[in-house]
Amino acid sequence: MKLTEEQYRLIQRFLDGECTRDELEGLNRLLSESQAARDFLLELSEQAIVAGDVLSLSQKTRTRLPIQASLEKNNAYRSKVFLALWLASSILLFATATTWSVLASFRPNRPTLGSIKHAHGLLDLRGHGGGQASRIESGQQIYAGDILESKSCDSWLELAIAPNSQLTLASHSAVRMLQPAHPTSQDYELLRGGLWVDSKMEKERIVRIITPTATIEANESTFNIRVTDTETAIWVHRGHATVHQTKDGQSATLQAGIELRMSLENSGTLSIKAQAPPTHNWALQWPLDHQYSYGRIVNDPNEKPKLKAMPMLWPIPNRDPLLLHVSAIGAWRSCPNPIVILDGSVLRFQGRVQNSHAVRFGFSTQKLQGVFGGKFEIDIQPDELANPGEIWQVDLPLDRFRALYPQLNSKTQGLQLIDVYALTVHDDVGLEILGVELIQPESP
Amino acid sequence: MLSESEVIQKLIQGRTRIAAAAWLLTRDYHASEDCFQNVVLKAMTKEVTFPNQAALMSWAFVVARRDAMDWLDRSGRKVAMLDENVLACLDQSQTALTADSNRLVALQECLASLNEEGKRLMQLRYFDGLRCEQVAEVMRLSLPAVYKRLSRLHEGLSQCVRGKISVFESTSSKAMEGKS
Repeated sequence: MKLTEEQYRLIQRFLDGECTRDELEGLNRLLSESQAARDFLLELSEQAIVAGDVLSLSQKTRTRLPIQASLEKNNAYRSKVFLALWLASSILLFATATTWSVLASFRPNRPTLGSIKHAHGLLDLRGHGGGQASRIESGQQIYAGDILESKSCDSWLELAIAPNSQLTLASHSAVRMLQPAHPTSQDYELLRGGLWVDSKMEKERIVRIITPTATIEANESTFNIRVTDTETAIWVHRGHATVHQTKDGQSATLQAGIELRMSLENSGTLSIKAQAPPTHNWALQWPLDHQYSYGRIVNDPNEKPKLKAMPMLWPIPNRDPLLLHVSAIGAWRSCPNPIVILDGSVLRFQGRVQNSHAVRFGFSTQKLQGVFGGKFEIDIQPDELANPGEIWQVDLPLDRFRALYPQLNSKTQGLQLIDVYALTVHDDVGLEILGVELIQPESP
Repeated sequence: MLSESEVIQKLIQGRTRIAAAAWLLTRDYHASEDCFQNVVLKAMTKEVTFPNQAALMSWAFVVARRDAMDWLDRSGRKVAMLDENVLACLDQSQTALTADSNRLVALQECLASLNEEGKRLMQLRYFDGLRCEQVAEVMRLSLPAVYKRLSRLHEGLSQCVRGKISVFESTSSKAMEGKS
């Protein structure tokens, strides 16, 4: 059954958002009764997408596939030679259709939302159609729809978004460039992890960060955000930022020195407060909830709870990944105050292994309320630990740890503690962590 | 159970249909692209498994539609929504469609072979996202003339696609006969 002009017009009016209530009812009736109408609507939506693809790619396609242009001109030509050419071009077009997503990453006509200033560590750029690139270079332009992801605790990148304005993506984080919702905004979606925003936008322009639980807007401001699926925390350091809580639409303007946490569990008014002062002590508290980053919690009623190391394939550029067995705790998650390391601070680990084996202890840091500050590790030989099966306690002054990124920071003093971990390389020796503490120098 | 690479592969294969499902709500090509990308991202980062392609595609349509609604919410756009039952019917029809690469290649070819006016209409209406009234203004046509031309355009494209598919099918069946 072919659609009548009237029905066709009704569908177009619906797409334009101009249907009256009665017309909408009529359209619902038509679509529920008529397979032809449903097919038409689906076909039309598919045509819209493919038309968008063709228009997006048209400039490149014309230069890449001259054969296609000749086909357009010689549509009536039906010789065997033409058929062969036509088949060849179909194969080329099919290849274009299936690999378009990779090409689409480089499409010039989507808005540019920034260019890479610095990139470090394991990073991914996922083009908006699914294409993926691990090689990210300074000066590379990033388009609406692209996703930038930092994949390890020592990777981060800086993205210039306007003159004197930049975003810094923290480790284990992902941000997506959005099609601007308004002509005067630049929109980014922080999917997970942390983002440092330093903006000096032109008058009238704003940078907008969308998270699972909030939207943050600023013109001239410095702030950092951390998100999980259920919570957004923001700390404003310069200027001011306006936040809108998604759950109930509450909004507030935050000045420098203020922090705010917006969670799906929030009820009542927003809890705006002065930023918590730094602390220099921290201890792992049981029961572990969302604090641990990696491992399996073992709760045996006859023993102390522990975090058992679990296997992890650690990616290494251009080499096979390394098999590790890791217990890791997100210290920053378990403490409302930033945990700042002092000169002479000590990390105390309590744990156990089932076989005699060296254990690697480590921690990652960031500059106070800022970006990745380096990773520090130390290998402790079995003779410094207790016998297999027995619980040991080791006190490790932080100046004994070696800096994995001395170009960032060779000393730990003044850095903020982020993650703490213990691991074994290759072998699973049943490593379990029972306790971790950061002890400041003057503590008894 | 589909492996991660199979999930990605099948989502990419079904990209047009998934993005089209989002487009029915957003009516914005770029936003629909973003919704599709979000589907891929969620498939990769969430701990979801799919026993088969049909289950994956059903999930993808639901996620794409939810994401499209979020986008509408974020961008402050209000659109009239179809009845839930109708949307479910549309999803069923979408899922029932085979991932026919010939059809998409044919559609690409047909779109590429449109005359200048046809291309302009498609661009204004679907790429730039103008309403029919705005298209009429830009193209200096009356509103009924825009409806008529769009209607002819869609009908012409459907016929063109059907024609090309039959050529594909006859060519491949001849090739099969030649082989046997």
